[in-house]
Amino acid sequence: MILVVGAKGGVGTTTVAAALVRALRGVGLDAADGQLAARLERPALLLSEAAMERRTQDLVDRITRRHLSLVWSPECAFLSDLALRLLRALDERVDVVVDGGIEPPPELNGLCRQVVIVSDSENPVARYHEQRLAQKYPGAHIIHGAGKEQLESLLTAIAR
Amino acid sequence: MKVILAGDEGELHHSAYPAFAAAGLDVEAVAGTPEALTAFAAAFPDAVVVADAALFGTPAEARSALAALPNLKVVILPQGWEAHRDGFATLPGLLAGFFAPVSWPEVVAEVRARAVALMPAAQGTGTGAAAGPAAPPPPPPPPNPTAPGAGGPRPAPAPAAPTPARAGEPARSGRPVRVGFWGSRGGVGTSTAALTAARMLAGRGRPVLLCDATRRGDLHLMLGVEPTETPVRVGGVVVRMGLPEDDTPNSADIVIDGGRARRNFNAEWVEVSRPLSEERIRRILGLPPEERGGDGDSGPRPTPTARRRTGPRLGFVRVEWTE
Repeated sequence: MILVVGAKGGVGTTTVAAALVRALRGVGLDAADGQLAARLERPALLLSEAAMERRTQDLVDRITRRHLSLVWSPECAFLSDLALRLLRALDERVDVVVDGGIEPPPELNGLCRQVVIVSDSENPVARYHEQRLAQKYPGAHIIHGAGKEQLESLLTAIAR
Repeated sequence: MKVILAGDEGELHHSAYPAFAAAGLDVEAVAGTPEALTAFAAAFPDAVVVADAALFGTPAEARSALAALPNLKVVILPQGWEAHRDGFATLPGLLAGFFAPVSWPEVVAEVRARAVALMPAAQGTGTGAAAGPAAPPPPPPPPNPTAPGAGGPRPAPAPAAPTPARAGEPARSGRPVRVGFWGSRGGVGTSTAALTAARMLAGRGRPVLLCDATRRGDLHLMLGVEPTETPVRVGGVVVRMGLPEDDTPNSADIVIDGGRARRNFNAEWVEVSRPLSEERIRRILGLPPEERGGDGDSGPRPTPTARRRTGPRLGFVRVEWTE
């Protein structure tokens, strides 16, 4: 699972997350404001509702086969065991890319093997939060902007 | 001035009604259906109608229905109806239009600023009477030297003019300002708008409390200071994390950066969807156009990037109407 987190609003977090979903042919989990699910133009499931499904493998099959997106909602915090179980099962089959916005849900922290911090090198506020996030997520990939070159180098780094 | 609001009742009761009431305007009725709007407009012919065209199904239906309302003065067009702007701009009597989403305090400011044009129209002088060419008054009768002081029948004195417009007068003069900014997505300039508002208010010489309700410390960083839980004074502005607390002086103006959500604080909450120009913020605050918001010591100015983004492309655009 790859967590994409923004140092500041408007730096391109959702753009990067959507590009990763497409490039990795993965599944998007929108833990921000719903923009990722909308931008991917795929049917979306609320994770809190999907987590209640008893037959997890069937659901995973359906999500991967139909390229569904998932949306994190506040209820997921109360269903974290069920939600995380589904995400783990999904992550074994396909890359799950999380758009965490600027404040990703803490429940996801332990689940993500890679973290991408999207920042803006010219904005002092973004730089400050970039440093803060880099301390919180050691080893995270940091990219400035969501241009084509940045995305290509990010994909190369993630593939490694 | 009496006002009839028409549109989504939930939003009107939640956002519009308080904004109009706070400005001292008398909301006579809130119409949630086209039928109710027609009935209220007929029942209160001297009230100004502020209508959200989304109340109707299609632009053609909306235009047809609104054209039949003699007291329609302000219309709000939903997103996606931009192409129909000209059709609505020629509605008889219309003085201003907005594209959704609107900032209701700004709509109120617009209504108040145009009070002079609104009031004569409400007296049945026709549409846009204040702005259009008026018939010249009849010439005074020639003086009669043989009857000094008599002069024949004198015309009846003109009726007293209605309350003069208060355009240019600070909407909240004498009252502390409580305003919050929030944006449904990031990077649209919510914090910049809050900072600009605080700087403008600080220019009036009154204490200003600027609150970072997101608790991320962005306002501190934009002011060039390290984020801290302890309130910090920068220029004429005190910056603090979180919402105002009980020890805030009653006389202080309060500006809140709510981040992505309205916070639980009794203020006029303004949704920011695009960077706001200084002029718009000034109007939201009820500051007159000529009043400049302090000097550079009062607070930070928007970044050059934010300045470039501002201009005529605002979060909602007034449909300048001329007849």
